[in-house]
Amino acid sequence: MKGLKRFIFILGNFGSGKTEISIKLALDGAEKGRTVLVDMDIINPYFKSSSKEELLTGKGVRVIKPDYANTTMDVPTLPAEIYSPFDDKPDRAVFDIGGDPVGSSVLGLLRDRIREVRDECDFLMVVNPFRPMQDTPDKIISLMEEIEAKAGIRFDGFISNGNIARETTIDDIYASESIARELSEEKNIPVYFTAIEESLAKEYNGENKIFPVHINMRPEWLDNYNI
Amino acid sequence: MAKKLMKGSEAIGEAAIQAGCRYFFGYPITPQNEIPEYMSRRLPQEGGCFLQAESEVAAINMVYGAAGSGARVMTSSSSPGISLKQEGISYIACAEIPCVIVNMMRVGPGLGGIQPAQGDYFQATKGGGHGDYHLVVLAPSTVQEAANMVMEGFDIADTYRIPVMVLGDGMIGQIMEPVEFVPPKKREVPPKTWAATGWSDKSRPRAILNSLYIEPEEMKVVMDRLLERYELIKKNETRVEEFMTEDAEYIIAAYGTTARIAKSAITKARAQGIKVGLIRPITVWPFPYEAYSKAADRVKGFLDIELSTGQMVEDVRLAVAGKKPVEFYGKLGGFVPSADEILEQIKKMAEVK
Repeated sequence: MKGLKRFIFILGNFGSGKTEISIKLALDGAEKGRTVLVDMDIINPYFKSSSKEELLTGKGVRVIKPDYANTTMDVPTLPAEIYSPFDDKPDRAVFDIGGDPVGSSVLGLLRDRIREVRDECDFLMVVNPFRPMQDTPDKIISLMEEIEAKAGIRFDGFISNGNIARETTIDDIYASESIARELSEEKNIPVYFTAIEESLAKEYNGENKIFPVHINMRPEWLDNYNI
Repeated sequence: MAKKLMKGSEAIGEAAIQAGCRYFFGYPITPQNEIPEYMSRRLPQEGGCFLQAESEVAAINMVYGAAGSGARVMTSSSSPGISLKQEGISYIACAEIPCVIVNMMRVGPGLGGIQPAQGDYFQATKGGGHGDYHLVVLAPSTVQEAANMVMEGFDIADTYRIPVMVLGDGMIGQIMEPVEFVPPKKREVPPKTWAATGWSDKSRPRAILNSLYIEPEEMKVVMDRLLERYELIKKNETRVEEFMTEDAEYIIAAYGTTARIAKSAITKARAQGIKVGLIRPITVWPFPYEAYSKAADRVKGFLDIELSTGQMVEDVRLAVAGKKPVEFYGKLGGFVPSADEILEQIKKMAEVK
């Protein structure tokens, strides 16, 4: 996306869509320059961005992942390699952070390095009001503030990512945008863009910048059963 | 926003709360930590109690006590943790106390790994703990079904004074799908006159919840009662889904996530002219023997697919009783088969090149 800074940190509610957005940001980045995806999700056992490592590296994205990602081990540790983007400064580094305050606490590891490059960072909160306990601006702000406290950061903006998987309609996209707009006014930071599943993108008639996302994480059989 | 996008584990937590569960006792284990995580956040909002016990053994005994007072209580774990709970489950079954136990199966034996599996079928349906008892075991294949089963599971538990297990593979707990919470069809749930709620008015006999019977005559009364109840449950609660079986020449037997992938494979096979259908147990105990034995009279063969070395296949073979061949395909190690992989097995069975 034009206008995004070098270091992009994707945070938000557990299950809000951070991983799909991170993968797309990384793939877009790799079309234009040197790109790294740092999977820092150590709380999600199955569906992590690094499980799409083959797709990502095939398109030229360098993937940094938790030590035991994609194994049957549940050991939540991160390699020292997570610090490398701050030294070798790729054109884009996307940090996919675990959900909720508990998943965001890993950012504490990077606090000193982030401080050195704060002007080159975007901290973005992914918002999906169709997730439980996320249906009002108040609840989202309360989660957002908990994440800020745990991660030791301040958000720069929102990504509106309203969806209920295969049942998403264009009206759901607008409903999510309207909540994102309220959040933006309340917190005085912008909505960077609206993420939208690529097949729905052509129906979009709103005012936000849109970010069409190809769904990579859902198993092929998952949305095909209702037959 | 009636529908929510939820992980299976979150939906299970919310469904329990909607069904009136206000007490959750558990001990964390992947891949079901989102259940206790969700309950720890939500139960205090509802005036309930979430308690992380010091062990699985402690947690199941807390369930025993709290449910014994008549409350709706749930615990959840994954395979190795469920093994630790078995003694308590047997006690609860003997004391005839209703509760809901969730098992999100992971690959094993031993500590195994965190990936999805269906290796606890024997444990869930044939006992698990010691002694003569059964649980009602519900096997969801979608997030929506998992939510429905938890809500109805509390009613089934209360109706028959029996522990109910919701048996999902790890995948059911981790996938995200749209879900809504609709109360189950209303049942006549008997009042809990047996519950230990104090004896201040002396108007009824003391409520004693026990699983120790010194006198054999007394033990026999309890066991006769359990046996009678199990027969009633078999008659009333056996549930099964048939998918494209009407003209099927071959039947796939599968439950949970595997059944769902099988549906995709069946649709593909049908497009290639292979007449195949699915019989999916919704309750794995009681097991829908009749659906398979009836199908055995009209089809050419069966293919049982599980994320195990072959457990439910024994029940399918019992039902088919040698009338037709029953083949088995097991996916091991924590992997989930793709629809194409199952399609290959279907073709092999139907001898299509």
